[in-house]
Amino acid sequence: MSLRVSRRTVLAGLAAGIVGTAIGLRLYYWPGGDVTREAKRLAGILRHPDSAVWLGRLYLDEKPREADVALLVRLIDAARGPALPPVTPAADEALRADLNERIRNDFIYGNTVAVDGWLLSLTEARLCALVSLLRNAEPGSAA
Amino acid sequence: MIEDARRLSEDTLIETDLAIIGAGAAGITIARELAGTDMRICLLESGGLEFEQDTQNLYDGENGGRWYFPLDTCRLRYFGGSTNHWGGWCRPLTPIDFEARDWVPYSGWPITRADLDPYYERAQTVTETGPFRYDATAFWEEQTGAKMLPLSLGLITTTFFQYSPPTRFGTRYRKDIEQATNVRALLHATVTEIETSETGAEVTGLRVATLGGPSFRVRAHRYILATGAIENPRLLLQSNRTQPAGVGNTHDLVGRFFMEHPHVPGVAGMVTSRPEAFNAAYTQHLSLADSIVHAALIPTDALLRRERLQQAVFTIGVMGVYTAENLAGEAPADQQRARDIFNLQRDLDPPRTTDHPPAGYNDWPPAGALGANCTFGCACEQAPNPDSRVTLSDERDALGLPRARLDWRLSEADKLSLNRIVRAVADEFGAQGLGRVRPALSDDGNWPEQTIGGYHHMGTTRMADSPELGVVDANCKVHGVANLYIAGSSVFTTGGASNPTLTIVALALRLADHLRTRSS
Repeated sequence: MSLRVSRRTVLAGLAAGIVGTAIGLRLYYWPGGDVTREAKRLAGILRHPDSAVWLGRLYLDEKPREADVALLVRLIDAARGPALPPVTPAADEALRADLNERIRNDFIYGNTVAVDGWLLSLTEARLCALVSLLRNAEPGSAA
Repeated sequence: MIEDARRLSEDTLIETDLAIIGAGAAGITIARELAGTDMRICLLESGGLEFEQDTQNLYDGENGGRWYFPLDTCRLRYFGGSTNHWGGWCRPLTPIDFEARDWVPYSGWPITRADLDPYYERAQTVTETGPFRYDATAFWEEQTGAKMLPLSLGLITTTFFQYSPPTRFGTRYRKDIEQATNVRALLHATVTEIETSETGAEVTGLRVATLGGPSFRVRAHRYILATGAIENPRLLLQSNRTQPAGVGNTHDLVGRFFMEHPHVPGVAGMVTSRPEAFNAAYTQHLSLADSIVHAALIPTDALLRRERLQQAVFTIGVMGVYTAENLAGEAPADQQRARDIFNLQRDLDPPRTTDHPPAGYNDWPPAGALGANCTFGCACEQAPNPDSRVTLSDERDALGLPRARLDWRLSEADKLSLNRIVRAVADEFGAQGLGRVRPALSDDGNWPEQTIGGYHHMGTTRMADSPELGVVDANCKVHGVANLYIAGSSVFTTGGASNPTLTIVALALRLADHLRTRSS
């Protein structure tokens, strides 16, 4: 018995593959540099990483699909416009102000999430999740 | 003049112009207002000048609904009434509280806040509180020299409580009653029955008893029932000699619509890295030159209207402060997550502003405080519910009278409204960088077990223009009874979220004015 595949099915499969690959590349190759550097820069805003790790783990327990550094970076940066400026202290303050605005808007527009019962902005919860994932990825991490 | 009714002769008949039943905040206020007029007044008080257990026992009753305080401990039965254990919290109902809101069943007073404003102003003096300025943030900023919270989303706003010393009406105004030549106050005089004509259209007299002493009668031109929102319906219902359903109860409304202000201790937690933003007015009673104030949070009218919510009020209690010293050590296990939230907030939120008083202003925030762990207290509005009610028990008191039975009921809608307002506080605080909030309520309509009342009994002889919707009219006269009035929080149509005493006094002043006008 031979398996017959229609031309339409082949074309649809090719199209799906191309779109999927494009999304993957978009997630993996960040336009302003590599995604790990961007992730570390965002995570660096949080100066109490131990607290962020705990909160991040709790968030990811509820949202396991977001347990991906590239995805989290993209979600946090989604509404922040073009690539970030070079890494300087002044730029970090600009990043903090930018995140403040995101957090404020999250509360205004109801983009909040309960983490251990605390109502947090999605942006700050994802920042914590990012810190948590990066901690896991460190050499010697138990996770 | 104040006398002990136990010294009267059996079957004495006292004839007077106005009989006031109950010497609490309402009864004493009306008697004082009418002192010095040509009206003869008889003020009847079940208790003495001090607490007496046997009289207090007359308040014992049954609780049949959700948990409520024992009925003999949530009010006081002696001269001055429950002001003898009053906490002194004062705040008027807000204008929207008087409105008919189509999302709150049975809402809508027949009077407006503007109608009561002149009496609220006078009630400030009676309760020994400051200026009649409750929602005037700029005024209190000027008085305190401190900025109030920057709340700009239009979800919640700052309001102010004022504190009465608290005024113990029985002590503070006893001399006024003693010296009033037209007022005869009788102690230990428990009214056991309101007698009416055969049709029930007129009160013809009061039967009065004393514990172990004489019984007597009082006959007046007009009568005021002012014994609180549990005893008022009790006395009306038990006065059923000519009217089997009780006095003023043609439409089976007496005792229904019992309302409280549900309090949920620790309704939400809050952590802030900006303790200076919460100036001392939010965290403690602030003593000013002529008033004591405390800032609180309420939903805006816009939020209430847009999302069809009921009233609520929140106060902030400080559980502890974060300092460099205590942050250096490990947090107790049950406080670790709050500390994590604090750390997150101080990493992310905007830097502190400088437009607040320096640390130490009225001892808040304490020197070295980097943040605070707080809890919200709340009182909220319960929508009028005819099934939440006071009825008569099968048990009887020492005078042979049926005891009161309370069936307090809250609805899912009441709870869901509170849930939403707590979320609004969380959104406003988060957006302004003021703190992060942890609501302690479940998302459903179930009230937590620890929900209690505030000793605020309201609604059981409610005010409405129509006798089919209320027991008293806009002048507090009982529908269908020519000469019987009711004073006190039992006439509240809705309860808002404000402590009731100031409104009780304002309504009493208004009733006194009404009677004075009619008399003249």
